[in-house]
Amino acid sequence: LTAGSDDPIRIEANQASLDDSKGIATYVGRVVVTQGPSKLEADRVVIFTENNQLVRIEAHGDPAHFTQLDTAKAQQTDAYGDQIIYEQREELLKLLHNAKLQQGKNSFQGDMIEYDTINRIVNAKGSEAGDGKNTRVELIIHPQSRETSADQKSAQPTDSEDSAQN
Amino acid sequence: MTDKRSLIRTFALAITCTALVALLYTSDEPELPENYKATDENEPDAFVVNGSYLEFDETGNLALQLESHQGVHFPNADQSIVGTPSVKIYQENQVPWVVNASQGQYFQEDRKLILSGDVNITRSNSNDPPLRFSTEELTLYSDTQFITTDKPVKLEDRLGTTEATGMNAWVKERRVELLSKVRGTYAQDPTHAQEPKE
Repeated sequence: LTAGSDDPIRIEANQASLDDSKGIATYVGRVVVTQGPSKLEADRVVIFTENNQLVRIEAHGDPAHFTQLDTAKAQQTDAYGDQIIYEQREELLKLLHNAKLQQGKNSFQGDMIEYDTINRIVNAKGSEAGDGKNTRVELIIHPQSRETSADQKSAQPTDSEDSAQN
Repeated sequence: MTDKRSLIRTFALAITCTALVALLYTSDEPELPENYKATDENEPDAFVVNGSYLEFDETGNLALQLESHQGVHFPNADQSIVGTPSVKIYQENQVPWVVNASQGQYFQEDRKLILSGDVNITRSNSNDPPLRFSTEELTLYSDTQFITTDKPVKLEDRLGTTEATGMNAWVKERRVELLSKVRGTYAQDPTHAQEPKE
């Protein structure tokens, strides 16, 4: 859940059923999955394991809610969806149905959103419901106000200073 | 002189025998009530030392083996009390699950075994990751190989540790239900997770 993290994944729930032969564990009832600064909350969470490795987490909720805090930028990412799927190998988060992703003031909405938790890349898609109610993707990007971008500029060393440092 | 001594010895012997008979006769056994049954509810009828009890399934395969250093059978209650029982639960071409405990009560008719005191279930073999449950008390139904407890339980496998209160386990199907207050930890890299102690 937290890109490149080796922290253990902790999970709490009301009940669970573990199918040892299939390597599937299903947690039900106010399920909270945490790893470092990331947290996933849902009504039901299914964890898939292969060769003793956790490979996939599937969360179902109304909606399921994932939060990730980027401590470096002090920025929180909030992701919502009726279904949230986390693919461990690709460290990819898929938000399905009523999908929404919020980073600070910016937000993305659509039927399906893919969020690459390593490179922080968002891929959104509308739905082809085929009944005339196709949903389109909606992006709200707040332009950075002049002061914030100026502050950021002054904080960054200029080229001449850069070369002096090297 | 010798006549006199033998007379004394005979007399002393007589006194001793009389005293012995009197003692035996007035033993402190309470008066037996009229309607006393021949065997009382709590009377055991068999003691088994280092016994091994085997159960087979309908196809004749060994299903369960119960070993104990000491067992006592109570016929009327159809119950056996066994000390430090070790139970092996067998399934077709799978490694048996081994259950150890401080004490066990076996009810023959219900094929029910209640195990208590430091109960742990282990399954370890080369191709399956080791699995270990620990709890204070559980009930094992030997014919269906179903295990249940309402006590706190801890489950350790190569992926991590899970704790809960209450558990149902179907050994044949290798399926477990944790009934409440579930808290689990998945270690990312199995080498981080402690190997469950044998």
